[in-house]
Amino acid sequence: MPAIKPKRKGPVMDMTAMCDVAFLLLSFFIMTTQFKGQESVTIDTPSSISQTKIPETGVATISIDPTGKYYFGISNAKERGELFQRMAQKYGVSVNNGDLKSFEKLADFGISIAGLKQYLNLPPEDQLNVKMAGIPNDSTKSELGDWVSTYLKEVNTSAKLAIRGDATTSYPAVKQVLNELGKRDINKFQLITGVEGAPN
Amino acid sequence: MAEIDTSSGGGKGDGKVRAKKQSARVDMTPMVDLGFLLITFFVFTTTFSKPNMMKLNMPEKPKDDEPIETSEMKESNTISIIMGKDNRIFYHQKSAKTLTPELMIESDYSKEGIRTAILKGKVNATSPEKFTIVIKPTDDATYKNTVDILDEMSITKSELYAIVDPTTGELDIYKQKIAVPKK
Repeated sequence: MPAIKPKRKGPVMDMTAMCDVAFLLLSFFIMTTQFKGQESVTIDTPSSISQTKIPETGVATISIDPTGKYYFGISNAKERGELFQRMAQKYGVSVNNGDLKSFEKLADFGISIAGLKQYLNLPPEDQLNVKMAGIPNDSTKSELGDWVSTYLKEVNTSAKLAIRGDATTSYPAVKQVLNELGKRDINKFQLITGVEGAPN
Repeated sequence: MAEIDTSSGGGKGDGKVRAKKQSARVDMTPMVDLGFLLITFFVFTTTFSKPNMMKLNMPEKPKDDEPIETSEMKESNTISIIMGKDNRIFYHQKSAKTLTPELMIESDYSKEGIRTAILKGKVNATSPEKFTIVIKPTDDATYKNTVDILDEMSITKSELYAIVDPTTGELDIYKQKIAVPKK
């Protein structure tokens, strides 16, 4: 009589619960992730011990890259169109709906308003390759100052102005911004910095 | 849980030979693998550390027709910090007229450097509640230097400070000092 062999079976673990957890977490992360718009310049900010977090909306940001070029961007995509229209009117540039749509997608830009229209007409893949020359900000003609004051005084009066400078940006480039905005009665700034532990 | 019951009820004892029905069990392992892989991806790409911000309020520009308000400050009650090239930093507690190269002291951005100098100035001040720090970045200074000094203001809990341009006298002495490499 042959011996009855028990059927060999490897240990089977029920993965269903684990799978549930994995996908629950996955959906949580997908829903909470906020995608950043394409930023035109990489800036390495210095760090400070400040604990105040930057608000999600209602922030206009001036970025200053190491070579002293200025970039400007606002966080609310809906307000970008209105701002662009007002600025175009001031500078006598004609804009159509296509330009506005294209502008609303820009997280920030560093180009004079005269060159902006041409830039907006480029297909998105070509926009990436354009070397931006920075927004003009001289003491005689400060487009940057106009962008900021138009936004803060006409489009969103409760917005905050943040300055995001690279650690290696030279001080005169920052001073120039403070001076130009001081002339337009904008004296409150938020400096964007990285996180650093408080000293002992 | 992940198996579907395929056994038909009440089929016992009818004598028919049936093929043994296997329960349809789905192997979940690859699915779990995929799930966790995606989680890992999202965790790594999410930026958790939102940048911080520091307040900086500049004084209003005086209008041309308005008289400029000035308040007397004793030099001993202030400290001027001059930020220069290559992360070098100097400080002094003199007025522009009496300042000499010997009185402008070189320091550094460390805890023992400028922070100690500020705190020492505060302790020796004649009226500590009015002790003012004058921050004078030269054109050679970087944005990081400015942020570092503003950070020192919050670390030393100094509320009276101002960012101004260095005077020509200070710049002359600074130029002499910066020409000499740091010891």
